[in-house]
Amino acid sequence: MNLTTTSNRRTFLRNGTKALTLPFLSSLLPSSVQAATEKELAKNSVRRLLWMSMGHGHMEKHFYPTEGGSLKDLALPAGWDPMKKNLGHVTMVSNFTNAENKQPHEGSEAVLTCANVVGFSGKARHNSISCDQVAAQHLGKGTRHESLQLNCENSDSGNGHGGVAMSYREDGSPLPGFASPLEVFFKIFGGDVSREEMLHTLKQRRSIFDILEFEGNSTKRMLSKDDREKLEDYTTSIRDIELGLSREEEWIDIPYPKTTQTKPPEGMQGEPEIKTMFKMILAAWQTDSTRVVTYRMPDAGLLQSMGMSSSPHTLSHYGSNVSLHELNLKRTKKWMQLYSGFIDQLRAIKDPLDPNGGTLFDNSLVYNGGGLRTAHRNTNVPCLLTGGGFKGLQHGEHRLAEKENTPLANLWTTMLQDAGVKIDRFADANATASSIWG
Amino acid sequence: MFCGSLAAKPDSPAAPGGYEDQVRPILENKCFGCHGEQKQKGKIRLDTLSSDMIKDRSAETWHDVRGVINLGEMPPDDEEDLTAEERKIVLDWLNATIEHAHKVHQSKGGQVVLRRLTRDQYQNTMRDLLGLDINHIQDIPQDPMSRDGLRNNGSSLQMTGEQMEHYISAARDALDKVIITGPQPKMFHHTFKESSKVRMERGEIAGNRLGPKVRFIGRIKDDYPDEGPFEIRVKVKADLPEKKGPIPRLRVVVGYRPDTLLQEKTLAELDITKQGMHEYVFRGRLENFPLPVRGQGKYPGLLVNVMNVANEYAEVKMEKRKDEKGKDRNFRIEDPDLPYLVVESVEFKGPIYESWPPKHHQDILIDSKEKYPDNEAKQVAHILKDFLPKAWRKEVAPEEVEKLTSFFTRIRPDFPSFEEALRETLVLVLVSQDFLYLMEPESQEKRKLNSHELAARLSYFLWNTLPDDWLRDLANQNKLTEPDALRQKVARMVKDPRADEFIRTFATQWLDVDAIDRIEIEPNIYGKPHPDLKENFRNETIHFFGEILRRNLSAENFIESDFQLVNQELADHYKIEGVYGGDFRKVKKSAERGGVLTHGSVLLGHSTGYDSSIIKRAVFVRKNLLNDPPPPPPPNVPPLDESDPKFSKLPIREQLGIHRGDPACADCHRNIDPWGQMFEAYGATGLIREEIPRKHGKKVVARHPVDSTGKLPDGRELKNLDELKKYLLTERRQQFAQALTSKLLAYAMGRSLEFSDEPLVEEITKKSLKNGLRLQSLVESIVTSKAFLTK
Repeated sequence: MNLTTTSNRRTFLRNGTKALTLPFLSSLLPSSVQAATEKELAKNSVRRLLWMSMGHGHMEKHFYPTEGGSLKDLALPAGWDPMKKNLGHVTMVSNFTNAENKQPHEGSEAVLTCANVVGFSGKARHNSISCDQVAAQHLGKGTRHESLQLNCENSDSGNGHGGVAMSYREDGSPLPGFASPLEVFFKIFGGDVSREEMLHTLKQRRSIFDILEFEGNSTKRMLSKDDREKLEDYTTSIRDIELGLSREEEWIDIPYPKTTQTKPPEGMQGEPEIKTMFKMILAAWQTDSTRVVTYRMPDAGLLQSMGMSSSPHTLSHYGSNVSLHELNLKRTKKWMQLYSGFIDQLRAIKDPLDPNGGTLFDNSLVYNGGGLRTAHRNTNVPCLLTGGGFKGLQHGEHRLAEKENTPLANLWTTMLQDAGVKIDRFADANATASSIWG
Repeated sequence: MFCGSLAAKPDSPAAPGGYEDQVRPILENKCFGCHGEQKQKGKIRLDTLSSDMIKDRSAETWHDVRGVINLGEMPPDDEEDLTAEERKIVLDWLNATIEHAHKVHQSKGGQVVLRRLTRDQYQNTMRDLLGLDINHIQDIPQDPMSRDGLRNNGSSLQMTGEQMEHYISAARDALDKVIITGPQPKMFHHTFKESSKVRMERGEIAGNRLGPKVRFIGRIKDDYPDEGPFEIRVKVKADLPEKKGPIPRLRVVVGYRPDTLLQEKTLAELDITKQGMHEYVFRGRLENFPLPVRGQGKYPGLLVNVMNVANEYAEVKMEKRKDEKGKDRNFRIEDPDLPYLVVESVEFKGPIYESWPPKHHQDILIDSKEKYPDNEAKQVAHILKDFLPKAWRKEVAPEEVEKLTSFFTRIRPDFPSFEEALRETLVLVLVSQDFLYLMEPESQEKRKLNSHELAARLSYFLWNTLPDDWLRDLANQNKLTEPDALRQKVARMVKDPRADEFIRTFATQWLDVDAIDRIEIEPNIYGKPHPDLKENFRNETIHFFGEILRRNLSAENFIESDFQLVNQELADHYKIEGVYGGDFRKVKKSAERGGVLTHGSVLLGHSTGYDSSIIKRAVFVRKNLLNDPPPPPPPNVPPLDESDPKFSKLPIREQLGIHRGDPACADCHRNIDPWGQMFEAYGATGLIREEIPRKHGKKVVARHPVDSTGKLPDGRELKNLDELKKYLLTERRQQFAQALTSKLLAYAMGRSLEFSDEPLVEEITKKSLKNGLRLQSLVESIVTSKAFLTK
């Protein structure tokens, strides 16, 4: 590859090309990471967090068990068929509601923030920090990426989710994320670029921001208060990129981990894309590239790859339309099949940072659900939990919170606390969720 | 209440029925027992909750109160319920007061909020500024829609780190192409006389004589460019019938065929009305077309295809005959009534540069090299002095040029060539605030816009792009301030083809044309829809708006017109005879059409895909035409219970009647449903129907006669859509005029309207009503209004 022109260099740094080949082994973790984690290892295994959302939820009759109890003993709805072998490794919890979510259409925009996105005063955007970002602030210091956001393509926005992201900053703006497995691959394994190349590019990329920052300050004085607020978006956006660059600089001397995985192809869609994204999440954890991940899953893309022409929104208005019911069941089963496959892999892969030889499953806390239950109902949202990181939780049951509409933030508080984040309450939480299994 | 909440004064109670004498007594009787001084169930206390939602910011709690009353959750089952009359009083007050509070809280004191360029504006601005017609917005996300249905609202247009990264890479990608290095690339030139015989799929064949499902294929295996401008010349002979009849339509597509499926995009389409042999020339840029990966795929190479799409989807008749070897084979039978084109030759040339360096390069570097040989910094300063005012749409101070020049000097050592460092400097120009935002710095109080700010507002309003040389010259000479002069400029800008952008954007957003993309037509009832039906519906409404604007016709035509705009395919759909060709043209309306309420875009977009939707069509009239949107449905509303086959069989009116019987729904729906009933004669695809099918699952289980009558909330009984149109044009004339004025004004300024705008809206409306609601005149009034001319 010709690296002589800047545009090529840029393209290369953005895209890279070469598949690297070496096996995954904990001994191949970057040595500095090893050093940094040794202390932790002595004490405890690390905890890893993942939140995933599929959007519009499921039909009552296909997905929601009508009573609590052992999943193996319950007469589970048909959507659970593909989950049979993993029933002992998941927990379903019910009666959780994101009380602040007032949006019947974009239920998952606020699922991790528990903010009232509709809001009332003059702002168009009304979100606040999401729980994964709270986790990232605590758990992300020693990893190459504080957190990773796996998003969907623009074309998949809406559809019961809201935008393309699940993760939001303190100011309520969505975090940039990666919509293709290839981008995530490069974030984890890097491209085959020399240190000099990288430094040079970083310098070039950075120079633009120095002057923009300077310019920003000089024009600010001349603007009205509202306009200044508006321009803060702009300044924040630049600062974000700069922060990213600084982190890249700090990590420049630490080699990327190596892998036998081949580079995912470009333009993946639907089911193969989701499967590959799952692989990327596992790879990010295996290499300790990050410990906090959110995945806003592409529902519309999945339907397309299953050969369905209906949009997720159309599917959610199933009414009495029998053919739509069938499609809904197909989709629910597909999600459960994918999810079950992901659990298989979590359980199969050794956690390189676990002193006791445990698996990724043992050390993770995984939420799978969303802000909408079925159709446009946003109470009692779907909550599936997996992973051994939940303190005192024995998987394999459908557990109901005592009260209807228990704040979803209770569940987030528990996940954060169990992962070692020192936090009292998240958002509108009024207790922790662990009481329902503790 | 008249004209939505705009009619309410900020200092007066917004609602019908005061809180103290009407609402509070009801709450006292039915609610305070549990939510008052003694008890505060659910931590809600209503007796001390301020009814002044503006001063005391109590709207959020009242919003929740409205939710539980709407749902019938409160009062709870074991307490005495509100009577229907009480519910109405409480909810009417809540609806109006909450909406009012929302507007007041949103107020920006009547000032235009700093606007980022919209996605479309960014695309057009990059294209026009750099002279590079490629897709600049591939990765840039769609802009959010504000509450008034517009996508150019400054308050809603955000900026994020991710988006910023996209602007940076879009600017780099564009400048890599605009400012060139190296020698002129080799031009490829191919002429095809005979179509390549590539085997096609889906019943298509290759050939020179073009009818349905035939295409002329020019295939360039290897010798084609990967980027740059190209030209395609098509020489075809048309055999046009003597009498008026179908005419051929030429389509040129560019793409490739990796496997069985074609990847292609249309370069141009053209009705052929000239008899005999003629040459037609088309230009494009390769970056805008799907290009083959070299050396890959089953059928490698770039394809230049020519088709005649006059009857693209006509069925081809076949007959079995013996071929020359005596074998039975299927032969096509040519339909003598269809028009044909015979290709003489197809020529491809590219990349075409009339000069080297190309014009877009030279337009930026101008005479810098000749003027300051051997001094790169001076060259850059010279370039910036010319480029910055265009890019930033303002007069640029010497310090700004200096600052950027010093940036260039600083980064120059990092780049191997002058051009590359210049590109990077210009990237900075294209991601700075002055480029990405419409900057209008403030002064102490409201001030008049300076002439460059005004030129920018004008061109982004009417062209959706930056001011051109003509507008910039006028701004430089200060010739934009005089109202009469300004009106003339508007008239000229509206005639300009660039106003198509305004027409498309505004018509689409005002009349919610994109609604059709959310609906699938049910083939079990309507048959398989024509593949271009939605596109034709979309274009009908856009062209219709353009016709009214450019001919300065009355906006009354939106409600009722004696003309309509169709092309052949749409005329076929509407069962209008004698329209030939793919271009839209004005024809006398057919009996059941006239105005946008009979447009396919409105009727399909506000349907369920298998039936009309009384509710959606009603909301369209109230929200889009009268600016009086009903309150949004509360969350957790159960849909109509369609799982019961007996229920499915009922006429939709009776279903809605049951819906209205549910107190959770009744209060809103009695003010909504009647507005949609007059459309019942029109099915989902916009055609007149004799009966209304009801289905359960996939099966049609009942058919009911059409009933288009309805009784509006004000007691007026109407028989059909014609009567509704008449009613709107007389009784609701002022409200419609005011609604249109408000929407145009909000779009022109890129902000939501506020109470302080009310007098202005009334003034413009009054004036417009006086001169017969002429649309272009209305635009002129807006442009010459004080709100548009001040910051």
